[in-house]
Amino acid sequence: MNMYVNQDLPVRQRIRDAHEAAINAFAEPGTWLDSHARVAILAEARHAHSCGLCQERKAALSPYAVDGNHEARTDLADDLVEIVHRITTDSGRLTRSWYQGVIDAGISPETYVEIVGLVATSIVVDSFGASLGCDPAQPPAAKNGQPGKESNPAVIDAGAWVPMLDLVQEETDIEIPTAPNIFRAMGLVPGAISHFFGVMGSQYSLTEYDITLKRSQIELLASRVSSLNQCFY
Amino acid sequence: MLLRRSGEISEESYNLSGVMSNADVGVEDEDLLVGIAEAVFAGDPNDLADVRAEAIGSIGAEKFVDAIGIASGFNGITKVANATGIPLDTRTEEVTASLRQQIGIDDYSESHKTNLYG
Repeated sequence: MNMYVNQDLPVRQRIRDAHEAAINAFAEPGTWLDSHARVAILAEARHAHSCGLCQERKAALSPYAVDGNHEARTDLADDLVEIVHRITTDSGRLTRSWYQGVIDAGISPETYVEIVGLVATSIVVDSFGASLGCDPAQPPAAKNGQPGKESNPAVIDAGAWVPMLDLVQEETDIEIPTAPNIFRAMGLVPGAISHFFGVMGSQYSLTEYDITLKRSQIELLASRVSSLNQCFY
Repeated sequence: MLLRRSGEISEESYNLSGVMSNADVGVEDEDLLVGIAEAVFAGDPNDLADVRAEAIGSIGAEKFVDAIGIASGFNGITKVANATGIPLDTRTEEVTASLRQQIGIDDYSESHKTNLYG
């Protein structure tokens, strides 16, 4: 695939490698979703901002006051399209009630977590590419194979909507535990953790790493984007 | 909230309320970095082209690429946090209580969103 070769900006090799691996991983069978669904989720995440219903909801005082049907681009089931589009376009106004509605409608928490990871990964890769001025990476062709559907028992209820990875916590000198909740959030699906953080880890680290920006500049960027996304965490 | 800790470690003082508003925070190249953050979040190709050209001419291509790495990463990781409803890490919750209230981050809390949207 050789991502970002047709532009002149100095993209670090670790980022090129991570993004290429992440895009290719959409075509692999996941833990709870098959390859076809995973590739469709990538397509829907890329299309969500063009969806009329999503635009109406985004403009509304409350997205929960606007009913309708999403303008899907794939054959992904409607309830999965709702998850993908909402997380992509308006994640800051998601609530526990909305999540519970998704689960009550028959989506397993494991499937939900896998979708969260796929959407978030696609947003990182596509936001980066768009910022360079590149078209989105060509979606991979779906592969054969079935999801393993193996539950991870090493999770606990720690106050999130979803069970989180059960890890021993030790505090670091930056007052963040060794396994922060954002890392534990997708604990139901370890493959989602490695997929997402394979990309995220190539671009950001809590500890010293090879980057031209000062720590204060890094955290200003992080804080501002978090604020724009209405993120409490 | 790591910006607060970053300031403590480097013994520099930042106006953290600027993260949630248009006030100056006190970070080098702040206006440009905020512009990058906003353009990456919005995703408009024309705005991205403008900020890209400005940044390359100002801070250089390497810093620009590193900056969009941070911004795009947080544009994704916030979706994980928002969509899973994770609570703050215990120590962070303890040491940032007054700061969160002061600068308005509590408006993004689970309880506040539930009050607004049910």
